[in-house]
Amino acid sequence: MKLKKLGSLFVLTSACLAMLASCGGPSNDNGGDETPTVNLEDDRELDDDEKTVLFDNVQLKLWAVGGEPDSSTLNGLISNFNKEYAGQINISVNNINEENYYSQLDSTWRNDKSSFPDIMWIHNNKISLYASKAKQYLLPLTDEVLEKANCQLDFTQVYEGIDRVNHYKGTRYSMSVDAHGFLTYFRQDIIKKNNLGFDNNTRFIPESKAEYQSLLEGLTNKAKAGQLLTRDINKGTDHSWVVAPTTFAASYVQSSDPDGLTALYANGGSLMDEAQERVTFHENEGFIRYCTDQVENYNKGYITTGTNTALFSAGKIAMFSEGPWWSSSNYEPNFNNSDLRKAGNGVTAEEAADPIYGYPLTSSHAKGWWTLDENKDSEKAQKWYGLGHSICASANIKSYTKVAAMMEFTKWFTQGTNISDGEYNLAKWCTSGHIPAWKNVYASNEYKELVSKKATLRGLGDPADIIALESLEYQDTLFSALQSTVVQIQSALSGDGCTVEKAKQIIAESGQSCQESVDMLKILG
Amino acid sequence: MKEALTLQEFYRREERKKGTIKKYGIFLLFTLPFLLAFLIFFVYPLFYGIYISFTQYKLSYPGQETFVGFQWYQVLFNPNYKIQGKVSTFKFYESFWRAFFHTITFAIIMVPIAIVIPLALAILINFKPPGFKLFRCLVYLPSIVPLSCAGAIFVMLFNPADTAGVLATIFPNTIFSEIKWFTSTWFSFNIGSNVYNVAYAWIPIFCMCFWGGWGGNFIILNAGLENVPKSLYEASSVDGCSRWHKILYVTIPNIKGQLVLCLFTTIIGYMGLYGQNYVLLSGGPFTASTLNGAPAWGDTSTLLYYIQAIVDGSNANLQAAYYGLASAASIVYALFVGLFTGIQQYATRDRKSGFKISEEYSKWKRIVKQ
Amino acid sequence: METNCQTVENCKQLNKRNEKNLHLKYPASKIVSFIILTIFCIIWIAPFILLVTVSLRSQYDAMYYPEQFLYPHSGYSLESYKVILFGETTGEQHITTGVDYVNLLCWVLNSCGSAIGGTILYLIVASLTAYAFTFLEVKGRNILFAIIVASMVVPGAATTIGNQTTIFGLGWQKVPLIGLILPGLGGVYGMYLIKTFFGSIPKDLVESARMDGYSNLKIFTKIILPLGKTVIFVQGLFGFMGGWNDLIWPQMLYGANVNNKNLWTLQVGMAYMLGKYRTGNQIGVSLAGGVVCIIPVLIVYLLAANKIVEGMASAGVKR
Repeated sequence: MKLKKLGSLFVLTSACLAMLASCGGPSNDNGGDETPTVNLEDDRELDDDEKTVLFDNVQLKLWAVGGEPDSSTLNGLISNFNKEYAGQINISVNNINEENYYSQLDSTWRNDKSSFPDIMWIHNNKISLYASKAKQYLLPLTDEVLEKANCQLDFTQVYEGIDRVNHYKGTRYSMSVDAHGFLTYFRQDIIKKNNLGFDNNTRFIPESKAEYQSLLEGLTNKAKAGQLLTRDINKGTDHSWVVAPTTFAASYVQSSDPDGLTALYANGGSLMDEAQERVTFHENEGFIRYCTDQVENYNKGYITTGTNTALFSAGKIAMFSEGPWWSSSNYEPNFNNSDLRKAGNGVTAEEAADPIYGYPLTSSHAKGWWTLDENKDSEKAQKWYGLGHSICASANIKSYTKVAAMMEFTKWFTQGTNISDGEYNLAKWCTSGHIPAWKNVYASNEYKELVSKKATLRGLGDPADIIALESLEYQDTLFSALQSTVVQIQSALSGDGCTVEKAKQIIAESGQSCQESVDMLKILG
Repeated sequence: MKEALTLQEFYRREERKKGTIKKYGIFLLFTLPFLLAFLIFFVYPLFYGIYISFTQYKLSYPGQETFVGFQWYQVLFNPNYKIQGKVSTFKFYESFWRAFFHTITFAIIMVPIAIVIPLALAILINFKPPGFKLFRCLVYLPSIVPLSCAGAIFVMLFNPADTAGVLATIFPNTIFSEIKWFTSTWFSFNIGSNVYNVAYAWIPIFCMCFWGGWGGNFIILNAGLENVPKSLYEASSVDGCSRWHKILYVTIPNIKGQLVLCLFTTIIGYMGLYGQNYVLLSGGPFTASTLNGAPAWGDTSTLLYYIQAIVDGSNANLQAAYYGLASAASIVYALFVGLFTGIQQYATRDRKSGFKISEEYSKWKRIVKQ
Repeated sequence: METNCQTVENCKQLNKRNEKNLHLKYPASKIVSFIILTIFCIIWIAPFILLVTVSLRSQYDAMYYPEQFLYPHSGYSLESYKVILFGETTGEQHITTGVDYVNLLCWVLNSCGSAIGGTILYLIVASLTAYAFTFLEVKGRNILFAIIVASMVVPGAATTIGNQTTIFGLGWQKVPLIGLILPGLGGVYGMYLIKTFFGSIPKDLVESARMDGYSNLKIFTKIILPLGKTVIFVQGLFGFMGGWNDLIWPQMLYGANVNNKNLWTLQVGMAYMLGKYRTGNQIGVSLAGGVVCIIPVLIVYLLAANKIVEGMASAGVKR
């Protein structure tokens, strides 16, 4: 369990780091970056307007990272594409789960280049890695390439916070599709029952650091005084309100990804400085406070370590953070079950009719929970770190026709609409639990309707609030340094104990050590 | 003076000459498939690996590596080494030797136990108590469980109570629930200015090795015990040996071959300990934050974990830049293991004992008679 | 029985000892060993029982009532098996990509082929080689053997990259089984084991057979193999277990390329199913995967264990 969580934390942190690096888009830092040259065979058959490319049975191989329900949804959409473009473009899909995708990519590149895919559908925190000198798996999407491939996408429709991760050293390498990230799940019924909500007990998701902290302290202090009421919401159990034990803790520890990275970005920090010379995450006050506040909260009993979601539904804990994919497939049906909307078994008629007590589970992304008071008014204060998928062309593509076909597919997927009902294809993709990276899709009616039906999408919120990872050459190292800092502090909490001084020392040493690693990597090339 | 040869002698010498070629031919015939597979799938990759350890190997671009000489070996053996004179590689040196220290200590503790206990079990079963066939089956049974699955079981067993650990909830308020097996430090000691934290996590690792790893030794030793001729036991009974003496002076010397084999492979096995640590806690817990980012900087990391942390690509930057280091580390590892097993083989080498001497004598007698 | 005793005292003592030996039906040794073995085996098998019972519980049950592993709080359920075998997730989306019986069957068959076929082939190759190293007197034989055994110290990590190049160069990732079986034929451990056992077969047996005019092959099949039945069975068991449980090599070879799914072994398939539904966190599902991998082996093992017992009883060196 720990292993898996570490694994996904690692990925997310890498993602965060990558997003943090590319603040501001392609026209920032690294003025000395040259546009890479691209040598492709120009075998396009152009239409009369000298721009549209004609496709005659172009075969493309796509490798997509992900598990269920992503794979089924993606495969369904791609088969729609193949039907629409029958005779012109055909895409064959290979779905590989995350643990194996990247090693498979490496192995195929080394040993079996002819099987290497043409299009890659990957998490956007990996873009910089595959664009960097060590790998160079990606085709740079320079202006020349975009023009020859007849790219009709308006990239201003992509949220800037997400789009920044698609650029590496000033050149675009990929195109964003969506965004997602870990959510924090709340027992809003417990919060309401004990009068700890906000805005006169009508809002139960905190929206600032002070509110978040008040929730932790309120719940735990009431429990210590023997006054906290809680109940078990599992189907078939007795749902009457009981007094919580004095050992009640409000939440589990938060994650390094996205929360650690959110703490970094929302407070104006970044993993590396603009010149990409110095490691800076360990100097950011917001990140340091994120770690030390967890230490203090743990030592006072407000939070505890572990991730046993069974305790959440039993009412032994009120908040925890986990991946968004569990929301629709597991938590919603199991925790917001129909038991709670029928009187009986401990549920009163009033509670059954109440929208909060009837749906005790709610979720949200970080809403300024880690932003320090002094940064409360900055433009990044309410934003959070999120990962997402990007489509990119591989260096295995040798002809402009194929690039054009890939562009056609990307346009169809992100901005195209379904032939039968005129709804965005991207909105259909979002049914699998991701929010769109394109503004017009987010504003569309079909997406709004989707949000009303899916708790995951509600929790993930507005894509404009997302800050993607910086574009970093060494993001694996940087992310892993940040993640292991947070993990080390958290496991010290549950193991030998930790103090604020020790946490600060760990952060400083990890940052220093990370700087050495980066220096070495730069020399070794 | 020319030697006078009888026809028989001449004929025998000719036979012997022809026989040599024929003998080599037959030998080659018998061993060809094995030697071929050995050469192709072991010797060639080994030389390639040695070659890599002298280069700045680029994993994604195999032909384009640059020769760097002994750089990686310097990183491993020289604490003051700076790559190209600029950046200190002390981190990599320190984590390598810490991993070495972990590996050696664990092996020294584990190897004797891993031989003695299966031996004791085999001897106990050799007494043939009722139901010994069932016992024999049961002892090897845990070895058929694949590693990832065994890891899941032991994680479940040793987790703390709030993460649904089985031992912690069945035995509350005992050591099982008081100690946080996967995150606490047992004790630490200082060597110079370095702090070494010994984690409690070694105990679940020990249990996992204990459970899943010794069945093999047990089977081999048991089979060896069955092959000890009964006549020797009878003879020793007649001579008035007690049971304990029988074990010591009849049983053990007669399974010496199997014991040496078990010792040899167990040493190799525990020096190469990696899977159990990885599955249980990825080489953690991680407490030495000054070594953050070096491969294998955790408290239960072993030598092989050092190599794998670079090679398996979990940190793609390490894999891209330090592949040569991983190769060099595996060569050094092989030399260490070779050293230890060499010492072991020398210590348990065949000494001429009474039985062997009489065998040699009768052979010699046969030759002389002709 | 010794009857030569000098004094009356000695004779009396000897008599007593002999009597004890004659009337030994349930000697202390058997009782003590029985007790020790029973206690040991109960502790030994407990994790095994845990494995099976937890895989038969629902996820919530396992997380909330971990101590009730024999009689689960909400009863037994097959939900973990449904996830790992059929991809049926619990909850609202209830995705079932359909039971892919063909895949499952292919995986089991591939595992069987690799484990059984590989083991049989290896036994032949290794025992021939062990015979050659034990009984064919050739100069330099011992040095060659020492080098081969010394190679066991080299870790797999050093040879992976070179092997990858060879295997992919030969295109073995596109064909079933060959890439799994052939590289293993160079494995030293089994050959070393067999040679050790062959070494205890008296050389004069072979000498006399040679002088009777037997060819080497005949000696091998008619004399050595029957005598070495024990170690052949033992190595057969080890080889089968190793081949069946191997995850790293087949995964490197076939990877998670879903176009190749029918080439996978059961281990790779289970790992894939585990990752596909992100159920790695669900303890029941990973254990269920483990049980699925173990069951065929368990059957083989229980059958083979009997054979080993018979083999060991009837083998043994006849002088």
